[in-house]
Amino acid sequence: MIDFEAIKETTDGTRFDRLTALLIGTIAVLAACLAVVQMAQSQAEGRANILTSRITVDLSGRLSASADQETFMIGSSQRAIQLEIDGTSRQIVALDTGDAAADGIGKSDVNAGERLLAIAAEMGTPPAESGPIDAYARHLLVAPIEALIAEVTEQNRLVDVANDASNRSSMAVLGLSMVALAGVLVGLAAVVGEGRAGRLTLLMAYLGASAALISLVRAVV
Amino acid sequence: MSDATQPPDPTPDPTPEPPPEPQPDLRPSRLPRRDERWPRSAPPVPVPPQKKEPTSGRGVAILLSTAAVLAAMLTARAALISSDASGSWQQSMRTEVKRSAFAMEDIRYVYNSEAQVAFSIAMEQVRAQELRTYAAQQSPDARPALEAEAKVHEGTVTIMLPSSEFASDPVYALPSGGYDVVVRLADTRAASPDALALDPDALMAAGDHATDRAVRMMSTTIPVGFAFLVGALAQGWHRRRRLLLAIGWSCLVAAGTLGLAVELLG
Repeated sequence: MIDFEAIKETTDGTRFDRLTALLIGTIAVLAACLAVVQMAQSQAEGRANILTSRITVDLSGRLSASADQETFMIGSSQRAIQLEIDGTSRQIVALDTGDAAADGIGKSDVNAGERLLAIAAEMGTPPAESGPIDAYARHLLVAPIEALIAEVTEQNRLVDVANDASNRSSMAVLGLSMVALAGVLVGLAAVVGEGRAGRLTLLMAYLGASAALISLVRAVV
Repeated sequence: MSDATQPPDPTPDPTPEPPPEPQPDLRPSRLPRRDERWPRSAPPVPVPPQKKEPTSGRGVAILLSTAAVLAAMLTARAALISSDASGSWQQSMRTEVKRSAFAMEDIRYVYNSEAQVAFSIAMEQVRAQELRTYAAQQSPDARPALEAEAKVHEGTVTIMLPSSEFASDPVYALPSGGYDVVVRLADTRAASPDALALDPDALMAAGDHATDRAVRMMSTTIPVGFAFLVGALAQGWHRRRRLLLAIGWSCLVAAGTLGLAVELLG
């Protein structure tokens, strides 16, 4: 007599069963890989966006702080030059009028103007690297145009990095959607069983898994 | 005599009628049921017991269930770590804004307010000094006018100096006659140690480290996926079930070990 139960236990499944099992396992591996890629790219996008925002704040701070320092230096120098001009003008008038006192005041003002020009330059000089000021305040005050251009270039690069990471993350999400669809279809195929409908459903599931694999490759490469 | 008046035949018919022919079974043929395989009178033929696989379908189910639970745990932990990373980055952004605001306010106050007043005082001082110096070289006729002019500027200094903490403190006086704005700014910054301690770069670095951990933690789900693959194959290839299950459990152990290593070692 035939023990059908033993036969079922000792022989392999049908080709349909094997293909179904293979696809289920492949879907699990694909899902894990896509999840890793999606997390990595999503984090890269977030990091690039934060750095871009920080550079914006830094650029704004450097422009404002260096403008305060330069405005003071230029304004003070202008006041010193103005004093020299006044002194020279007073001397010219004193020549016409013969006023010795006015001539003396004029010469004093010219001398004072020259001293004040040097004082304005000394007071308005940006802090040296070895000075007492903290590094961040110095970073804000010392803002040559080349450094600012380099920051803007870096910011633009980070924007490109963020966009690229966003695209890759979206591609990974698409892949995960395809994996989910393939999982549903393979489950349906297992329920329907071996038959024309089951084989067709399994084929569609394999197509979904292939699309997920393509998304994974595009997200990585 | 007629037939109608004849009495019935009292002799019974010795030949009974034959039973009706059995009707053929017109029902569609079917496989005999389990209890119809052999006649009830015949005992079942003993079948030698077949060797059962020690790892039956239950082993596959346990492997797949364990893989699912482990994958969920690793994914959840990775999500938590990545959330910490995002939080650190956001905090670094807020700290950057705060640090910039503090520094810009200090710089604005020193250069736009204090330094302007200090330079104005310096102007009056220098003008007074130059007038005194020039007056000393002049004749007695021109000297009083120059000294009077010098007194005007000195009087202005006397009035303005007390209002400027910057210009009043001899610590900031420069030999040339001005005042050291950089030292004043450094002292103003030092008066707010909390603002000086703000470090958005450290928060950014903490976020970078956390995101690396999160990605490594998530990567440990790939061996779990392979364990799932192998477990599913074990369901389809019964002859290789033991080997496949062994491989599957090895993948799970590897994934768990890697996850623990990431968690404990960073």
